[in-house]
Amino acid sequence: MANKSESSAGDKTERLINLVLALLSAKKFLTKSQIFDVVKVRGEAAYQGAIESKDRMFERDKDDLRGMGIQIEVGGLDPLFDDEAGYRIKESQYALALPDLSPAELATLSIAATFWRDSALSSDTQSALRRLNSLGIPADTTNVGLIDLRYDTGDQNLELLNEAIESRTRVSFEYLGPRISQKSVDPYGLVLWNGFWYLLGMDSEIAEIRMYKLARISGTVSKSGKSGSYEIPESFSAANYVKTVLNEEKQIAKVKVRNGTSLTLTVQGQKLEQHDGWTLFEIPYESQVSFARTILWYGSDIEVVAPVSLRELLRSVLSEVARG
Amino acid sequence: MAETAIDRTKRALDLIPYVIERPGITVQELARDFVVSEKQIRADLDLLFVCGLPGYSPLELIDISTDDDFVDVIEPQLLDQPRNLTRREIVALVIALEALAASRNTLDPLRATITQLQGKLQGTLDKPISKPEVLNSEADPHGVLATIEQALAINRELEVEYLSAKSDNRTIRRIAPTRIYMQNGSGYLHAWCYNSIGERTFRIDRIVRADLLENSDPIENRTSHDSDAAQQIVVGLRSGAREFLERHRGICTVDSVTDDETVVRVHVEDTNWLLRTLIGYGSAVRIEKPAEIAAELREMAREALALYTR
Repeated sequence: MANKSESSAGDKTERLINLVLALLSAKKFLTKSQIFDVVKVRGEAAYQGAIESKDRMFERDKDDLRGMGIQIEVGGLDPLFDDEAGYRIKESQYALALPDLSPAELATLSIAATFWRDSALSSDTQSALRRLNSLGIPADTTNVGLIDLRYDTGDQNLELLNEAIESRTRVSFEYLGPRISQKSVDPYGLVLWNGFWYLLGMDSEIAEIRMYKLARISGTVSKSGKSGSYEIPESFSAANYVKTVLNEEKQIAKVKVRNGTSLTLTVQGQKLEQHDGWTLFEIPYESQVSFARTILWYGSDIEVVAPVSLRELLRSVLSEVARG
Repeated sequence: MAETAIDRTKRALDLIPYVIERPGITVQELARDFVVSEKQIRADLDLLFVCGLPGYSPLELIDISTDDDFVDVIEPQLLDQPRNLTRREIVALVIALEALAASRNTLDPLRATITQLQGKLQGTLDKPISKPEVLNSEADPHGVLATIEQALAINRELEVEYLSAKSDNRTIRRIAPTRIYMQNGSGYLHAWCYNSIGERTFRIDRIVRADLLENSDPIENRTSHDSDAAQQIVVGLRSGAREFLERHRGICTVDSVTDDETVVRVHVEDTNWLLRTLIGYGSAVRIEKPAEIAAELREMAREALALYTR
């Protein structure tokens, strides 16, 4: 049994390759019956059995080839004689063509591909790179291998979500918010912000746009609707949405810094005045929580003067930690 | 997982132009490049050998020679060109390029290359793909990454001006870079540092200047003077501190997960770094052991609190 399925898998590979070659070499569109006639595997007709089963087999083969990126043209109907469609593959459409791809661009693609290293898309990008490296473009490997792109995000979800956005398909997933909950979302866009990927979408329960961190989606996203089941407003831009949210929160803090300390923070600010070994700075910030975290890093070298809400936040956090 | 006929067909089709580009490549090299066994490559070549154009006379068959494991394509028939990219592959490459762009300064010449490439890739599709967007790329605010890459590529040393958050000072160091990586949007440079006499990891966004050194003599004996030994600190993280785990997964081992707390062992050499990081998460963090580290954290908070209770 194992032997049989193995050999039939080999047969199928041969059949697909010979079908590609037959369609590539066709001067005119080949009808199905011509294809069943001429395509052979080791001397025998590649399509065997009743006409329905040949048909089914051929339809599957066509789908498989299209899934490999091979475009099969349909045409050649001759209205005077019969109405049978014909098929062929144009050499220009079979072949990979990226206009004027330079060695530097090819190298850039190799570096970028490290992004998918551990994901399901890794084999796709590696296969794409092997073909790009078969184009006869000299390799510029100067920078290849010097940089690794690493993101801890579930990249499998990244791909699924991108696909769901393209096909306008509702998704559902388990989300680790303040507590674990099940979300059902019409995905609008993906944003890479501050080192993490976020999904923006319409939460179907509350009918409002929300932001979800991909790192907090537990397990795999599943499609829960039909494709084309919603519209994304034309004016919607994920990046603009995030920017708006951030700008609403943009604030300036006044902080007293012990002279000569907190260098990585004070380079971002404006010096105001100096006395008693301390310097007053104005520093812009976006999120209160993450700015507070930066301030806390410097311990007793920084004191926030304003805004009061930030000062109060720090005081309460510090007293909690001091109590232990 | 058993391979499908589709995967095998793809590889067989792709082998031909790959070999044409590299005449005389060995079966071993092909196995490495296509990430399959040598036996599989031989089987694929055998299979191609019996495929061809309708008619299937010797003149119409694909011809490949494998003398002593050196592979050559003698007659590719019509399969001399690499197969076109699939939509899925293009999407994957466009997203990956976007992530690469996010790591670069806006003035970096690579940004222009990336934009151009994305245009070329999208141009091959009938329907444009929706690609993720990237906000504030601040991995390289001082534009030093291109110089560091150049140093790595031509094996040269660098003089860098570095702002250390840890020791809170600005230093000028001579370093020999060994590798760059981007972790969750931040760039890191791993290098031998002559000033610290040891291997160090630098945050690229804190390197304010990098200059190539002319004719630097590589120092042969790089014996580290580091004496720090890695420690294990057991920390309980509540939901408010989940980001700590997301940002530093590489140094954390998760011990237990309950509804309201995840207990992790953090492996660090530098406990000062850990304390300064953990204090930012306030009461969402609890140091379980060692007790003296927990006490240090409380003391650190007390000192800072004094500023707010005067």
